[in-house]
This record gives sequence, C-alpha cells and structure tokens, in this order.
Amino acid sequence: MAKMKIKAKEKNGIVKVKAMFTSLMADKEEAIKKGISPSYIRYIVAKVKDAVVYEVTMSGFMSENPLVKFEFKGNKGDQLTFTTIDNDNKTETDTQKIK
Amino acid sequence: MKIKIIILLAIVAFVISMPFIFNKSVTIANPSKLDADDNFILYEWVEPRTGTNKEWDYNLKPVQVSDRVWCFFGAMEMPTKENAGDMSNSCYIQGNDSWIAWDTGPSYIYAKQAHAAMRKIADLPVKTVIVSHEHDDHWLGNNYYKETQNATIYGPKSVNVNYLGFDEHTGKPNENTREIPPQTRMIRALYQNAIRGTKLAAVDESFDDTTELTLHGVKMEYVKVGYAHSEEDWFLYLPEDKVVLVADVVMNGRVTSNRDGIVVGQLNALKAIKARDWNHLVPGHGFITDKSAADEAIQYFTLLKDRVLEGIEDEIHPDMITKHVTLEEFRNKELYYLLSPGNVFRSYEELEMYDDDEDEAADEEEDEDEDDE
Amino acid sequence: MDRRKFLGVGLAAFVAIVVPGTDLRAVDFRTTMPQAWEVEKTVDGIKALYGSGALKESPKLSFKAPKLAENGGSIPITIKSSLDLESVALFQDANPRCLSCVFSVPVGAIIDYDFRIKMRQTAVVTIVGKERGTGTLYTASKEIDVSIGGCGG
Repeated sequence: MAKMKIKAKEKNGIVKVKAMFTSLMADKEEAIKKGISPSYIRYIVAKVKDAVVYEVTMSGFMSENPLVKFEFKGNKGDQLTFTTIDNDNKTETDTQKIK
Repeated sequence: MKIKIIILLAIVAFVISMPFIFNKSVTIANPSKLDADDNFILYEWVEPRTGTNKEWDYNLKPVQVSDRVWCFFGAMEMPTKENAGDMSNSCYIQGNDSWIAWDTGPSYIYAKQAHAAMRKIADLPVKTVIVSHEHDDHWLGNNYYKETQNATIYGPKSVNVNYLGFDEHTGKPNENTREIPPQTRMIRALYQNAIRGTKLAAVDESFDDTTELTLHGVKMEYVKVGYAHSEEDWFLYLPEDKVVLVADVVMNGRVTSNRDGIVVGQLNALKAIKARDWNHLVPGHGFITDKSAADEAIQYFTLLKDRVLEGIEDEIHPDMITKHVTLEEFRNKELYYLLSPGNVFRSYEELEMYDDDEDEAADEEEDEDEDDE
Repeated sequence: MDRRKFLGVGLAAFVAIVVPGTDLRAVDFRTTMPQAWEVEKTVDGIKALYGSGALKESPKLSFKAPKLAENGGSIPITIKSSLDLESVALFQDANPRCLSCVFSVPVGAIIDYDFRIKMRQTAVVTIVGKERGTGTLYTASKEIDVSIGGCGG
C-alpha cells in the first residue's frame, strides 16, 4: 500500500503539485471513538535539491488521506522529495520526478 | 378593475399550486442530528424497552426470480419508522435440505417473517446465511437464524471488524472490542416492535478471495469485489441457475450512496458482474432483475467518473463540483436529491489523483493489510 | 520486536540529528510551539502561536471555502496570498482544539495552498499569516456551515 502519491507537472516555470498521503488523520477524540490509538501525519515537507518548497505542520483535524496542492517555481526533470512524520514520530519519504 | 382581479386570481392560483410544482425535495427532520457513529438519521432514537405490542407486520411476499431463487424486494427509501427498514432486497435459494439466505434484511422480526413466508413454499430450515457487505440494512436478520437454527454465517470480515469491534488482523475479539456493540442507524431508526430482538451477530467464516462453494447441493461462486460500494463487497453467482445476486454494487430505480465506496472500485465490480453469464440479476435495492438490471449503475458511475475527471481537468474548485456535475439523467430517480451531490463530491476527492493507467490501483489502494509497527 | 524498536529509535535519532543539519530551512511548528496545538479557542490559539499583535485584514490574503460543507469530514480550503508571509495558520472553533495546520513559507514561494480539513460542526474558520520581516499579522475569516457528515462514516 503506497504511503503517498505525488504528481508534479511543470508549465511556464511553475510546478503544480498534487500529493496524497495515506493516514486516518484520527486525533485523540476520533481515535477513542474508533477504539484505536491516535494516528495522523503531523508534519510534511517537500524539497527540491535540499531546498524546502513546501512545509506544513498539522493537527489530526485534517481530512482522512490528506490531499494537498501547491505550486512553486521549478524545473522539469528535477526530483521532488516528500517527507512526512506522524504523531508516533514515524517517517515516510518518497520522490517523484517533475514532469 | 377587471384586470386587477384577474391578476390577483392568477397570483392566488400560483401560490396554491406552488407545493405541487415545486415539491421535489426530501425534507430531513433534523439535519444536524448525528447518531453515535456520526451518521445522520432521519428520526430520533428511543430508549429500548421490551414491549408486548404486536410484532411489526412486514407483509413480506417473496417473488420468484428463477427455479430455485426467491427474493424479497424492499422500498426505495432510506430506513424510516414507516418502512421499518424494509428498504433492501434479500434472497433465498432452495437447496436440498435447506434454504440458503443471501442477506437477511434489517431486523430479527423481518428474518422471522421472511422465513415463515419461505416455509410456505418449501418447509426447510435456513442452515446457511451469506452476507454481501457490512451495511446494516442487509444483515440485521442474522441473529434470528443463528439463534433459532444455529445457521452458519458467511460474510466479509469487515462486518466483524467495523460493527463488532473485532481485531482486523486476527478477525477475533481483542482487548479493544466493545462490550456493547454500537447502535447502528437501523437500530436507531426503527420502532421498538420492529427492531425488538435484533442483535448484531458475528460472521462465522470469511474468505480472503473469490471462493467456489457447493452448499446444500447448490453450486455457487462467492466473488470478492473489494472496495466498491463499501469497504468490502462480495456478490454471489449461481452458474447453474444463471442468476447473480449482487447486493448494493447494483441499484436500479434509485441513486446509490457511494459515501463509503469508491467509483473506480464500483466500475471494476460492475465489470466483474458483466463478465459472467446470467439471465437474472438481483440488485441490493430496486425491482429490475432482467439482463438490463445493471445498466443504470454502469451508466451512473461512468458518467460520474467522466464528468468529474473533466471538472478536475478544468480546475473546478471541489466545492463547486456538485453544481457543475449534476447528472441530469438521474434527476427523476429516487433519492437523487439526497444522495447524488454527496457522491459527486466524494468522487472528486477520489479522482483527483487518478491516472488513466492506474485502474487496478483501486484494489491496492485501500487494503486492510497494513504493515505498521 | 527488539530489533525493530532499535531501528525505530535509531531512525528517529538519525532524523533528529541529520535533518536540521541538511535542511536549508525547516520549521516544525510542533516542536517549536507545542502549546499552540492544545488550545481550544481560536482567539487564544492565535495568541499562543503569534502573540498579541493586531490582526489586519488585507485583500492580498484570502481563502476559498464552501459556505455549506458537503461533507464535514473533508472540507476543501484554498489559501492564496501575494504578501511575503513567513507562515500561515488555519484556526477553527469546530473541534476540541482550534489549530488545524500551519504552513511555513519558504522565501520567494507562491502562496497557493489547497488542502482539506475536518470540522465537527458549523464554526468560523480563521486564517492568520505573519509577514516576513515586519511580523505584521494579517487575517481573514469565514463561517462554514456543517450540517451533515463528520469524521468518517
């Protein structure tokens, strides 16, 4: 099961990115109701060549399997790397080439 | 003077006729009322009390679909006090020494009356029950067959995991399993004398994949379609009878609720159904059972997928998508106003990451086997 | 079990040591402002995250959100701004804790963020952005009506 899915397309120097991450995004209250322990991604960062292009810290109150979209100035062919950290401090990372 | 009177009469006539020409919507009594599972319900839940009132009379009349398959067809409505949950279809297959029940309806009393009606056709017990998916309008009659006839219940694991709190890895209760099962929306919606006696019965045996079974002399293929209409959907194909019992993967005459499912999965499920040779198809909701029974569902999901993908291409903002994709072809179907916008909205989320060459990804995407720790 | 734990700890340690070193700029608001995430009301949340500065409205900071949410478990939000903000946060008074997310904006980045939030009930959603350099706080808010839906089904 893929932990994240990344799509990045460049047009006129601007790269449009769509990324979806697998996570229940269950904060404390929701986790209790479901009988599980809280499970959500709390931090996402995206980099191209070590330069941060996107960075967000989140609570569990984002929708399940969060899908984020953003743009940045970039070039075709560059590698876009996403890293996520969840509330248990587990890290996932994935890379996609900008089309 | 005369003109004024005519105008006044015209206005009055218009006002009087307004309820008839504008009456297209379904009123939800208390839209912000949510039940324990955060599902909206149309009616209040009443504290349970055992009563001595006459049992609800579902007035069930089985309809013969083929030589050895009979079905009960429910109303095309949401579960309400007035229909006592009789809004889904369930079937009985005549085996050598037993009826095989495919889905058992919304309550203990429903199953009891259904069996009584089937006994008039052939006086056989129900030793096997097969469940299609976890939605509670399809299997709340199970405990009647368990308690009175010790029937074996086959069904998807998701029933036990999501409704009885069993562990999703072992399929058995664990320390988190709730003592008291949740009040499902069906239990909350019905009058006491209809829901009395209903308890959530666990599925005895689940399969991992499509399985061929021969039970009570009936050859069957229990086909897994996975994440389609709900988290885990299955349908039953009877090759000798050329009948396919599909439950909620197909509905006709009304719009489905895809709130718990995915469009890509639904389309794949419909493909799997079409790939088999049958003359009769019994949907989960709806009355059409001939070879065209699945056509509406195929049309709905194909249009939904194509038009929403178009909307995504055109960069329509998600909260405008329901105004943009209205699926006019289905406006006259039951429950269109209540359910279709939600389906459109949900499919936008699903299809945002869709790639043409990733049709099979639907099955991989939402797998229960998680490798955490 | 043991080996896994060791690897897990090792990885966490590796991340903690290596990541700050290699990043040109990485601000994890959970580690820098942990208390802001526990606050219940937006008014207090903004103070916890950004202090008590005055909040200005500006046409250069806006966000798109539905007036009536189709599904309270997934409400699409778009934040756009042409200001040079160093961070943008979204608060709501619908959940037990008000801070939903904080973006830390890289220098020269385009602020056009799309994401989806969960809200248990009708409430006001507020975004606050802090301008780079001046520290001025800009804000915009909208009420989102959540009548059906919730956290999953």
